[in-house]
Amino acid sequence: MLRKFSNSRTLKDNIQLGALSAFSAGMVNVTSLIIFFAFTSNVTGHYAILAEEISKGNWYQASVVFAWIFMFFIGNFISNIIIINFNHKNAYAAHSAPLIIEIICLLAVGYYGHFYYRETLSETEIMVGTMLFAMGIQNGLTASISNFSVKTTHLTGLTTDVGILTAMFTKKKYRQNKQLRSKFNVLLAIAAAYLAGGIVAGVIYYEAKFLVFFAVSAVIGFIILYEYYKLKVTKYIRIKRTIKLRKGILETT
Amino acid sequence: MNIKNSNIIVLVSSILLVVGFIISIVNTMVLVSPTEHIEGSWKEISWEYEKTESGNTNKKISDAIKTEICKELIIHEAEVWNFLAGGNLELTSNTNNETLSWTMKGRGNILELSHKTNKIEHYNIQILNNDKMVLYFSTDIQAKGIVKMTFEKIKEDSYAQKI
Repeated sequence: MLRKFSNSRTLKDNIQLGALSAFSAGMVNVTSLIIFFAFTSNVTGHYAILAEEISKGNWYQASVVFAWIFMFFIGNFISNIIIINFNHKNAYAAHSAPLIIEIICLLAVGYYGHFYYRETLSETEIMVGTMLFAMGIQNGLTASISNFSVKTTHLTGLTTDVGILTAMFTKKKYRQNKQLRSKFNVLLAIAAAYLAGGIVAGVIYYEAKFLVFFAVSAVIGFIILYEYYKLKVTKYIRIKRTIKLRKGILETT
Repeated sequence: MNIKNSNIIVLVSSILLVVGFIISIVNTMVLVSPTEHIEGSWKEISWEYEKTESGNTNKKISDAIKTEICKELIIHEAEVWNFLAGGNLELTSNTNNETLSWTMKGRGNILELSHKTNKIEHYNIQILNNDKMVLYFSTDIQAKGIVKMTFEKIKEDSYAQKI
């Protein structure tokens, strides 16, 4: 999932990365909606709200919404700065670092919310901003390393693509196109995972309140650890294969 | 478009974004927040349906229906709502006085009221300025729809004179 970059990624890589990160995005979005009455995994609505607040002359609310949009932007910016500058040195580390920042943000929200949250408006605004930053980081990472084919928090674009592909599949020549079918599978996996994440978070929230953010962090942590494990296994297999090959060469000579 | 122009556009947009963010942060510190706006006493002016499923053109809510709706809510029938800075809300009427807790959610567009019994209700703040507050909430008493409550701010002087 995290080791490969752009065009070297397989369908399986994209489905795994898309589904797991969409699952966590769904969890974050539904939780923030329940607790803070604000979306945190998408900014389309925030742009509409920003325009509405400006037209009403509500400058305080407009400023808050602009700051939220900026937090999402800066999250995308930071994750891509890390990828661009460190990808050639260590792809796995460059792709894991943004996820670690995301985990730190979500744990901070969960910890603060659980122990200190007094339900004031300024706390709400800061915590929503932090979550938008975390989601920006995740979206920027997944979009960038999948060559823009996986956007885990952008379900408007995803639904548009599903609509377009469904229309294309009414023609046989498009149904037989393996690339289009693969893209359709990735999109469906993301949509299903996002929805499932939202439902799971909703259920966990009513039992564990802010601790749901620890569960989201665990899902993201799983992505990092799974890749680390795969990396180790791949390295081990490669070493074993090399040894076997060398042994074979020595025996023949 | 040549590379030089593209670079200028990228630079200008980035500067505008950062400046916009700084202005936003300063605004949130300098401007009056919805929390500060709402503090004080508000007098109920009217109750009417903003939208109904029945398509009834008469949007005015009668006193009888208001009483019915209020039975289902924690706000009951209050005439004056006094939002205190500490998060308490005093509801005052001729017959009843009640204290609830209040807080704001979202970007200050949701008013959350909670009762001692842990019952929580949410009201959508449609308008909130120095003189007027309009709250929306959903109901399915009598007619399923959205109720619009309009309040007028009681100025400090006139309220002090009254009590």
